[in-house]
Amino acid sequence: MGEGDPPRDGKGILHPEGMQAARDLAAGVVHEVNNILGVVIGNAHLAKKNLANPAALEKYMSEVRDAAEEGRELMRHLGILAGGDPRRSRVLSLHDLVANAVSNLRKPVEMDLSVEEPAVELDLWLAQDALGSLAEFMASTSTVSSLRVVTRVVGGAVVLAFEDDGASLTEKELSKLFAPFSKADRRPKTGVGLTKLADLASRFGGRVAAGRRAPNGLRVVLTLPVASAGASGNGPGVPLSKKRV
Amino acid sequence: MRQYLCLVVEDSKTMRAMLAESLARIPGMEVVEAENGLAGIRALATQQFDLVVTDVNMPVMDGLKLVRHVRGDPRHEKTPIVIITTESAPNDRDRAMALGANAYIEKPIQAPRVIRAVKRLLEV
Repeated sequence: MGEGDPPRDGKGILHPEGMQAARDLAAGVVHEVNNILGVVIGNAHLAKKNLANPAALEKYMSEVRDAAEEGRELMRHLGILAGGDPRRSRVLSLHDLVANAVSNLRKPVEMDLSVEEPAVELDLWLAQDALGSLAEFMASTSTVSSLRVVTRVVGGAVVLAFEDDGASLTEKELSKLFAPFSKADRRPKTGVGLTKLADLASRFGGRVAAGRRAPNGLRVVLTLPVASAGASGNGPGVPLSKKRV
Repeated sequence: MRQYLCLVVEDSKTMRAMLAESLARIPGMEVVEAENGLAGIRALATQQFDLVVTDVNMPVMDGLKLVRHVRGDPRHEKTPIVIITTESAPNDRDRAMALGANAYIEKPIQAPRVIRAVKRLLEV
């Protein structure tokens, strides 16, 4: 680079905000994994002391198994965050993704979907996981009684809003909502679930924002470019041996 | 070379793609897709499958009726069936298992879980 050249992005160089995000992610992983290991080690010690007591042994080993399952879930989320790849994108039905994301919820969901069937080009696994994480985050908030999902096509973009009626977040909490392992009062832990949503938006030409819903609640709005081709479940990355009945 | 033929019955294109992509990681696996129980029955009428993976809630014909049909057909009565359920609908899961399904996978779909369940049934 010459003396008068403007600074350029270099491979392997992280901007300060990128470094901070990496630090936040690393700190969150350290915290979560330490908690899990603490449970595993503690219960393993207790189990060893109670080898002659089957009931106690079962209780302690169940704790170990649950902690290990939690660890595996954390690794799964991190794996998806690491693996989302724009080269593996395919054209998908946004409404189909949304329907799947809310299908597992135990709370009522009002669907206010656009008449159009917007197609979006995304990584299938990252998209489904990110939207599912958002729905689960809202539904598992104890103060939330119902969710509302809205889609609207505006020009060449589709706006997807997830809304709930739970505890409202402060400005500070909202500003950090998509950071890894962020915390908000009267809301469940986010882990990296909402970070995946931000990652999805940034990788596929969209944006995501969080705000308050009046009179109370959370609104998360994801805006994505509408794909030009029609939606299909079978895009690049699906082996050609597939047939459709 | 094809070693196993699996019928995936699921109305959601997205879920179908996730299931098909997961199953395709098993060497020798070929997948035929159907978008509801009726389309599944049509496929079963023309081919012998090593495995059926089906959702429960689908338009036209649901997965429970499909399971009943498969178990009532001598050609397919021993074909392993995996149902896709949600944690919030344990009754569907229990009914499908009572009708003769062999295993269930809960949504959200995770490739390792699908592969593990199918490999166990196919004894791969």
